[in-house]
Amino acid sequence: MKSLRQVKRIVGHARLEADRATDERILRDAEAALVKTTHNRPQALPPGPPIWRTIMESKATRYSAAATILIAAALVLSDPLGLFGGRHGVVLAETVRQMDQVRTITHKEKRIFYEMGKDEPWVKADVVRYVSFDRGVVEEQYDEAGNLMARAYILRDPPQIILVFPEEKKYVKLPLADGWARVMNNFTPKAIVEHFKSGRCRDLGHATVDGYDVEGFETNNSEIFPIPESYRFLFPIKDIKWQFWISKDTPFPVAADLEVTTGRGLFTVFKELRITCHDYDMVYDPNIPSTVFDPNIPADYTPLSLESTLKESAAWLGVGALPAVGFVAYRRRHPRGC
Amino acid sequence: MRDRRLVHRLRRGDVDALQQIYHRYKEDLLTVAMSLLGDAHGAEDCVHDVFVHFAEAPADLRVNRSLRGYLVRCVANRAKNVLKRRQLPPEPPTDEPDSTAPCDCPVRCSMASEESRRVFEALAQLPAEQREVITLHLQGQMRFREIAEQRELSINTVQSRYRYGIEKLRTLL
Repeated sequence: MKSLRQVKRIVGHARLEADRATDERILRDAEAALVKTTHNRPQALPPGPPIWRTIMESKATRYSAAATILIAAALVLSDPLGLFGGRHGVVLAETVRQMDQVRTITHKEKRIFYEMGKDEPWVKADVVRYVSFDRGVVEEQYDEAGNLMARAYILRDPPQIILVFPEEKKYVKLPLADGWARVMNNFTPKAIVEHFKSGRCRDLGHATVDGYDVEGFETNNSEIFPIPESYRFLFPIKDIKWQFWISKDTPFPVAADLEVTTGRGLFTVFKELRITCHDYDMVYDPNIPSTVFDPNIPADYTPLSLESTLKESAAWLGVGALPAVGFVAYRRRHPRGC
Repeated sequence: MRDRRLVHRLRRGDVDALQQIYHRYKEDLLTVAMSLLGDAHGAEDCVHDVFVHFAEAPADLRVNRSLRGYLVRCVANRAKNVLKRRQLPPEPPTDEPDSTAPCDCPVRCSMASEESRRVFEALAQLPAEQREVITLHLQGQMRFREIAEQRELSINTVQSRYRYGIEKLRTLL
């Protein structure tokens, strides 16, 4: 009896080869069908690449999704203080006290996006994040080769979100909507601590993370990113699980892990996503040059206008329209099976 | 040339793109169809129908990831329909040649090596469900999860069908 490996190999290598007559028959009929379609039913052929499809397949859109997700993550993750509700003994109480003094943070992040139910990553990114509790948050997202995919600014003054895509030479500017602005207004260590005092938190005990002797805490709380109801179709967060690792030697967090699951939304490119992030190399109160928070959009970059293209695609997309963040989105119709 | 570009050209009615796609994937598709249906004429007809359908409505193509995967799924769906039809009571005879009849035409019949023939014969002895999973996984290069999603089954069901089928094949090959 053959081994499993042999059987797999033999079955995998089995081949039925088409002979010339078969090729001719299939190609003749298929070509005739294509020509007939082209001549008799030109509407069967798209007049050009559908705008929506172009958007969906463009790197900029993918990065836009990624960058928007990183905004969500930024607002969530920039509070490595989130668990310090004062209920966890001396370490956390001291952390709260110390963190309340912190005005700036920088850290790095490994971020991986998965389509739900798939093992292969959809996007992998290395992120560098600059947080200033006075100016806002800036994130730079790099691909695996070290190329800058996107830079995201979430700024307090004026309150706006700016996404810049260097490779595509595109940018998006969005006003910071009320709900998000509220988050930004609460975006101080103290406010976040207050928020988490009311949340549930689990002590993970002692561990070694990234070489540090730490104590870990875990919580599930998606309310920290309260996307207004009318905008949730953009980025429908289903669940957020965080783990924070606080150094036993200093009262500061040294690492954080985040897992976000989303439903299908415009900014998730209508995919259900699972996003995992690992934050590390956290530096507290570094001197961040103020220019980091000045949006740097070169003159030859053009705006990525979703509004017009989405409007034009309305008929193709089919159902429903919702206004949000200054533009209109439509649900994509379900792809047809074969 | 990348598949996406070929599909883009096909959508614009480019016959050359259609030919390139056919020649790139014909053997994979014929092999999958042959494994699922168990006869060469049926496999040829299955691939023929898939490609004609493919060419009839290029604007409707929804190739999100792999073109090969898309075509394999189309062939598997078509083969499944053929197998269903074969289980129905026979239709009244027509003048059309019976595509499921054994091949006696040396010109039209596709070719397989002796070892491949043995594989196809062994696969034909498996229950259709096991044959389908093994074919899609080993020849169609689909993951268990994809097969489960495609056939609306649990992944455990798919994996157990695969295991039973492979064990049986060990005794048959």
